[in-house]
Amino acid sequence: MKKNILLILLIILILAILAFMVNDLFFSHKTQDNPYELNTDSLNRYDSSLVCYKEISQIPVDMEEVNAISIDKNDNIIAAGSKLMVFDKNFKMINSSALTEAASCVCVNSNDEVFLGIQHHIEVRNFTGKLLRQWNIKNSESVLTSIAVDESNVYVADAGERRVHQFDFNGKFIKNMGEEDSINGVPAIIIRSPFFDVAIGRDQEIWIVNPGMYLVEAFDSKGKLKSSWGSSSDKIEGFCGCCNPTHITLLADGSFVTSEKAIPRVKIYSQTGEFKCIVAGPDQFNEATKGLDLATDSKNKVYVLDPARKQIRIFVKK
Amino acid sequence: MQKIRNIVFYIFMLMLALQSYDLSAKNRFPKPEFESGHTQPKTITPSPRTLILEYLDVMVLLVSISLISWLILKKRSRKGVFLTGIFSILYFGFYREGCICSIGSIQNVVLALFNTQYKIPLTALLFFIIPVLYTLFFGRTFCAGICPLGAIQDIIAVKPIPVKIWLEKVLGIIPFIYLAFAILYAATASDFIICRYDPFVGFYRFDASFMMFVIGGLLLLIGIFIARPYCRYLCPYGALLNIVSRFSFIHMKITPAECINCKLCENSCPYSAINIPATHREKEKTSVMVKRYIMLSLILPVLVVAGGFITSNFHENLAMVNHKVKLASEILHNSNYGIKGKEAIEITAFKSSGQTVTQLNTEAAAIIAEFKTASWFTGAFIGLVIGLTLIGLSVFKYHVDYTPNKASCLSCARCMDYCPVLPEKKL
Repeated sequence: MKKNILLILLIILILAILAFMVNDLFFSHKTQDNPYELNTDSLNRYDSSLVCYKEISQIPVDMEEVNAISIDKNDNIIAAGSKLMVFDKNFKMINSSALTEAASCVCVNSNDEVFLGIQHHIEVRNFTGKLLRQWNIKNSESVLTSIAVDESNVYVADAGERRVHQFDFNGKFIKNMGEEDSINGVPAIIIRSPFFDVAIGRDQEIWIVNPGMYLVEAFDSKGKLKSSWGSSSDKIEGFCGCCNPTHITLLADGSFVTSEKAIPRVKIYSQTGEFKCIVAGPDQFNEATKGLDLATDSKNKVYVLDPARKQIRIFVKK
Repeated sequence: MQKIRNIVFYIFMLMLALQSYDLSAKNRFPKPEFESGHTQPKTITPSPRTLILEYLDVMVLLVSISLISWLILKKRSRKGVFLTGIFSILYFGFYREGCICSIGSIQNVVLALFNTQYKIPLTALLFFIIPVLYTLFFGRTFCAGICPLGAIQDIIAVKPIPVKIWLEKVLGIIPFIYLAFAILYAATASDFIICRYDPFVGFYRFDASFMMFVIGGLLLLIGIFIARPYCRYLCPYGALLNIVSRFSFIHMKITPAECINCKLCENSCPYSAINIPATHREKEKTSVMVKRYIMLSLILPVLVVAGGFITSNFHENLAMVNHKVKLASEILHNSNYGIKGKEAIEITAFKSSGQTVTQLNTEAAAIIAEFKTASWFTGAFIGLVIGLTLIGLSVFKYHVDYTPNKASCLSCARCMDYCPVLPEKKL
């Protein structure tokens, strides 16, 4: 008798298992969480005591596409994108002119000539937007992402070609920098997204970002790699994600200002690459903001172009 | 001289190969940072193996199934079957993590038959064919101790309770229904439901989901009293071998010589797979017999047609298992997989694929049309099985001796130990 009861119970259990399988196959809603999702919430958190700058003002940038900023020797601010806009040091707009094609990068030399990287050519204009001269970049795969000038040269970062082209002010090609040199064991720059920056240092060295390697590399005037700094880390001291930093600029003392994407933030590093402090943390930007171009003025103010909010945001040291 | 040249050439080639290995080992890209506590979820299938090791698996299957067939048919050794089962649990279970298994290979074969884009791996094909061929020759020796799912249940069947024949027959229909649906979903490239609901593979991989762990655990618990519940009442490959084994050329016998009807083996089979001698049947009126046979001959086609008709009427519901049909339905009804507050990942993935809703609906409609036809065959097959089971229960089977039921006997060799008859000595 006991055996029969046990048998009945076990058969019911088998049928219950079967019922579960049928229910699971036909009627249940599966969990829809993405098991492969990387939760980056913890990466967005930072120690607020590390923040050494405060935001003092914002300049609205009224243009459809805003991509780059630069500051001249008189602290005039130039913003470029679908327009070329110039603001004086009191943030008052002094000129705005439309561009036929959107500029992806901008810089200004000591003669107040504005160099714009547009598609596959470089345009040189004055503050009123008048075209002074232009020259073409021959490679159709070029993606111009940054432009920098020293006393006599123009350096154009080309994310498509993964190298920096050096020209004189009239567009005469001089050489490429950052190319792979297998003989001397210099690997090619690794770029995984269209962010590739170049800046000029205090001693006229050329700083080129190698975002795939999380490095900022210094080249001499001959194009030789001299030094580098940067490390991959999910801590605030390093760079993380696929490829960071996206932008750099230098302060008067040779310190670096860097900006990143994925975790949008702006940080200060010493001349030798040690992390110093935070200018703006991820909570100060819209989610997924990227393309935070940087510039500094003679007062060591940090200017951050925020393309998501279409603002130039100005930070000063606390 | 030529030999030396060849040796030098091969050494040179080896050095070149080593150089290329060194180059590929260079760490050009820094490893991505995953120190934020993120853990990569485990995949549901084991890592791929090199081809040579896959062939090794086939060799192991071939050798072990040959060995167990020899142990059952020639040596009549229950101990041998038990030890082979242990080996199978260790090799096909824990070492091979239950994959590839013959049970699941049904789906690979069906998918290859109905989907020309799918090229079935040779090893999957061999894992399907070898046990079928051995069953055709020697009965279900694969089930006896080579299948890791069967073996793990076999060793825990310590207090088996006999199940009534009628109940055994009724529950025995389930594997055929399972087989029919497994074929339906594999043929329409919708899902491999046998793998999805494999109750023991999670144990072998140490990664069972909670529900499958509970189901596997319950089946093992049930298996203490109802021997091999998965094999008898669920296994779709068992259903296939059940059919094939009926035609086996050399099936194991309980007695090595003439049965003396001592009845010692009568209760030895934990699977109720021994045919009890039945030499006399109750006399029935001829009119009753004729009436029954007319009924049975009519009921079979009726069940086949009714099964096909009923199942095909549910083809749209059955098609919901297909992820494309489900996705089209969710988008059409704007039900977002029942999720509130955020977009379901399937819909996000669809939107980023670039495919239009019209294209998706066209594909879904084609799949539903396939289901309409295929579910007719599925239902008809289920009706056929039910009809044949009814006929099987009604028809008198004449048995003089205690014999294994070729269809349901799992060749575990337990009954042999109970038989006092000695083999006939060859003169």
